[in-house]
Amino acid sequence: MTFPILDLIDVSARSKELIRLHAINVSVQAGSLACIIGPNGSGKSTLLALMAADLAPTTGRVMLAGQDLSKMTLGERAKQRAVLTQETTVSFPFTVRDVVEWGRIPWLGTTTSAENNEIVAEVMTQLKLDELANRPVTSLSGGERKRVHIARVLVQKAPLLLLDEADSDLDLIGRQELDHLLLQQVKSGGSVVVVTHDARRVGPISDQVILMSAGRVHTVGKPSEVLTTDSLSSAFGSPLKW
Amino acid sequence: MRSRPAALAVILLLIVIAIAIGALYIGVADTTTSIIWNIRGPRVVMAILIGSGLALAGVLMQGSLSNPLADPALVGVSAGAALGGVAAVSLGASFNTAFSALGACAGGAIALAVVTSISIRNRVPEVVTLLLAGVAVTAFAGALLTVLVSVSDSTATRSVTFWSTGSLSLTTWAAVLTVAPFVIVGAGISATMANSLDVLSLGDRAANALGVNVSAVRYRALIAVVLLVSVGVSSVGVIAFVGLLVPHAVRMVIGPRHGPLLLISALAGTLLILVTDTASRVVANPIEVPIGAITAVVGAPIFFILIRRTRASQGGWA
Repeated sequence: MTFPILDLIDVSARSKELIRLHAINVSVQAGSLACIIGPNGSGKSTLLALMAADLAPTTGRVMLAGQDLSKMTLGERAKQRAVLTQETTVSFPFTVRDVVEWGRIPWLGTTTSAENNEIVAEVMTQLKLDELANRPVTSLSGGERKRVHIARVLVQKAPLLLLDEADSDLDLIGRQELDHLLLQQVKSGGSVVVVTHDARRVGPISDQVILMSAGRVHTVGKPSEVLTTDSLSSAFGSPLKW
Repeated sequence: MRSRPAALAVILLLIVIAIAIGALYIGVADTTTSIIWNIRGPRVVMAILIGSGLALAGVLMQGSLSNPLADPALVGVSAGAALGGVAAVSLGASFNTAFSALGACAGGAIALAVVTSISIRNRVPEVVTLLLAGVAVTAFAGALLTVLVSVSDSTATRSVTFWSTGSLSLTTWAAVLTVAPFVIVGAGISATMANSLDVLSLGDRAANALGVNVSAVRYRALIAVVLLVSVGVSSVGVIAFVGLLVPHAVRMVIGPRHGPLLLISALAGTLLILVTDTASRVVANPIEVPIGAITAVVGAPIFFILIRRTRASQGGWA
């Protein structure tokens, strides 16, 4: 029995800097992996920003775990969803461990520091960050830094992960490991929404593909329904063979 | 390793006490009780207030605006505060009164509001824009200040040189009592925000996603900056680079965590102003070298290094 963790109902959004979105109706089931694909400027990141409550809808509603996202406090949201933004720069030379530990901030006061340390240690090992733990995050390569932020997001232990191009900067192995982590997350009941340009890799392992085009949802559904030569070519506005 | 900031704090505190006592007695004039109590005493306490205030303000600005190059004087807050203080005086207030203090705070706050609102675009605080806006605000406020000083009775508004390079030589106990409450409240506010400032290093969106109310943190930090800097400036003039240099030097020793960084920077800033102020009155005795000139001679070259380093870490500025 599944239920929607995230529901966007007739949502439109206008913002000066981001792409305008129109009439978005998307539902993400709990325990599923959804990927958002589409050409540059089609509104993928804007859609994710709406889901993250980084951007308020102009009309319509965004429901997170049955609650109106706009009526939740910052702290309540932080317990329900974790967000990986494209920006991975950290302004000051904090250590890798410091940055990963920040992922526990929403739970301060509700979990013990022993529990926090255990969660942090486990995720850091998963992302192979143990050897980098005491390095300043400002000294890392793009791929290493991305892994630090993915770890920070996982440590947050939110039921919903919203990841904007988590795979960029990662090498082939890094992407394979990321996919494995995301599938694990889904298997254990979590939900994941990823924005990606790598539809050929992420599309087939997703439960749902959201294909964006010009600020609208072009097609949404199972990978086999969306990832077709016809719909992709039409969304990208150019012949595209699947 | 974790005990290092605490040990360093104790050591710095002892050095500050030693130098403060030394500063009371160093000098060619007779070290009579009256000179120590009425002239050097308030000066030493003011050095502590100014040094800790500027250094804390530097930490808060750098942390809340994710800008390693921020300094109260470089971004125009000090110039705004000086103008506000002088404006209050030319309207009839006396220096080191509540009215001149409020004038200084208003000037500092307006300057800070202008530069931050220009430099935050699409929820990203831009490093270079803040400094450029600071140049413009400093030039504008400096020009108005010059006009005000020129048309007023110069003994009332003090000289333009006093405002641009600072001096603690006019410090009285009344001045100390005017500045102290603002610095103490500002320091109190900054003490509550170490953890949120840490997370702001991730950028606005990521910090927000962790439940940190970024705008609220930023407002609180910038209000503290105004309190820490403005009234001090209206009393001793503009002393540049302290807020830039101290946090950087301290970060190199103890790392970037804002809890220890705030504490140690306050002590190190105090030490820096105590030492430079004592130097300013003894090196060329009987002439006083303006303290802001000393901090700028040291600070400006280091600023160049920091510009290069920040530009490299940000991947270059167009």
